[in-house]
Amino acid sequence: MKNDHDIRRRDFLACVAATGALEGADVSGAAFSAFPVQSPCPLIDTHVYLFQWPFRRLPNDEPAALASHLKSRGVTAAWAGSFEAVFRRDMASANGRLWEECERHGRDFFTPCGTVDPTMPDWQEDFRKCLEDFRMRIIRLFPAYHGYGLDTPEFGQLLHLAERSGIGVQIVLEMEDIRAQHPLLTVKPVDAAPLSRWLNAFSGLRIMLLNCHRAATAPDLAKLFSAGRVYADLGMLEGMAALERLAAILPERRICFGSFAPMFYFESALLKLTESQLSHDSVRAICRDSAAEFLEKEAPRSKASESEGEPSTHPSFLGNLGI
Amino acid sequence: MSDFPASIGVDQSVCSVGTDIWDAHTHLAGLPGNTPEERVERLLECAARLNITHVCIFMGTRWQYDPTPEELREANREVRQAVERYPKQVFGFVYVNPNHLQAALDEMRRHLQDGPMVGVKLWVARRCCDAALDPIVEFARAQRAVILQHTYIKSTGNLPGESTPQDLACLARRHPNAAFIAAHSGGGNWELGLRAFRAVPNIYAELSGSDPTAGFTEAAVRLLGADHVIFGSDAPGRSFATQVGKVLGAAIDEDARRLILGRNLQALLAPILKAKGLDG
Repeated sequence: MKNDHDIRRRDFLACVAATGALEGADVSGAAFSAFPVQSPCPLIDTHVYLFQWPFRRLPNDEPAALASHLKSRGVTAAWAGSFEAVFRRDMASANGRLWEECERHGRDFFTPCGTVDPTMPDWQEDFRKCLEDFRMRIIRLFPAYHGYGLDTPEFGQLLHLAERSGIGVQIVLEMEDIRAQHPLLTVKPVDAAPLSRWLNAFSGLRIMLLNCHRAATAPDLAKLFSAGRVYADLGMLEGMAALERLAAILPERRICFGSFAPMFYFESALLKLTESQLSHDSVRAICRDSAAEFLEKEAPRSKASESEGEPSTHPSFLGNLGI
Repeated sequence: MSDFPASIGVDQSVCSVGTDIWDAHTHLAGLPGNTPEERVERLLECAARLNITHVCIFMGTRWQYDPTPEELREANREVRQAVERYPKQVFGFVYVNPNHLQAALDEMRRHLQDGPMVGVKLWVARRCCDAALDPIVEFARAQRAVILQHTYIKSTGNLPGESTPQDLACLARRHPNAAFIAAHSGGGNWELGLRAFRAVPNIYAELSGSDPTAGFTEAAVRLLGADHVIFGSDAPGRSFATQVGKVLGAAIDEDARRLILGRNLQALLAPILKAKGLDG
């Protein structure tokens, strides 16, 4: 008869075998960890949120609780957006509160991802604040909830500024299955296809698509990925061993771990690493390297950017862009 | 030498599964393979990576909302092939359509009464509150078979024959001695679905087939009790990982987790498995 120790050992070894994550490590004694809710390596979670989702209270929707929850499962850094920014009009206030909470809980853990809505009057000031006041390195956009498509000129203007200032852009294609949304607020997923136009225009852009796997097929994503520096998280990636299939289609180092916590159970994302058979390098890339590359590596500048000198976010500059 | 540490500080009490997982909801459709046997082999291979040792399976290799009698026979024949390849790991539920009652009863005789299948699957051909389902339920009850009924509440509108959790509650109240598994428990609108089952003790809420929205499992345990909640994945359309994560990520105690991940389904199936010599 199996005892708990045997089960833990067997499961741990199965987890290790599945991820290939512990080559050379001693798994014979105290290093045992129970299957399966543990990251196989230090983990950057590229997709989490602070504050409350308006349609239900979620476990761990207090920043301190979320930080504790994520850290206990092996997350060493979490890129946090704000649920408030999805719905509120006062974006500067939402971004300010996000920044304050991230500072309070350790900026080395939570990386604030401010939001800009390019359909709002004077959105450039929100962008400037993210960049200059809050020193944010990533902005997170919600086109579906802010009512614009990726073919709108204002979106192009925002991307142009992002390229010139070297800030990474996360685009959320979906927040909830449309079948499960509140009937008074049904929001369709974003069509990502028009993004290719901007990728061709601004070669230095770094884009990460969040919750993109239901809104875009893997071949559609592959086209976008080939057009520029596009990354994707794991949010809403469904289907048996889907990560295995996705990794076979998309370029190396473009898939990032993103749990969509606290909206989704963190474990649902983490277990994808166990469900799919992935190489040691792939696991490490998904858990850490791809995100680090998105965040830190300098993007090559487009010819247009090089000829225009230092970036400026002043509104008068935008009039000269011709977009 | 790997730079991955062997342990990075995890709350061990949350992590222990300590039980084999039984999955109440899987399909052949969408799996790679030329035969049902090849398909189920791939299913079990991936399931094993998450410690899922037993699966319930139904509906053949093609999706059919309102199958004809011939289509039902073909779907059940395919499932039976898969079941007979792994009779003690893969449990077949016979797929029936209430719009073809005689064909439904014939299929239940062939695969449930005289064959290895242990449950009945009802999907979206007809809303299950309809009296047309009564003979199907009676037949299943007489065989001690569990009935798994798809239930969904879609904000965008259900299919014409798609049952809501309220429909299943209506059916289950008419048949208090039959056992029902509410597949999906209303789907993403689980707050509504679970409410429908609160006063109906012969319904077991199943967790499959929706996004892993945090709070679902905790709500099911709070409203129905852990002994009335059952794990299901809806693989291969859904990921085993996302669906297991609903239970392993939930803030519930270890006893509740074990009930949901296997023991409740084991108990439900025990009488018919024993009768067919498929236990142990």
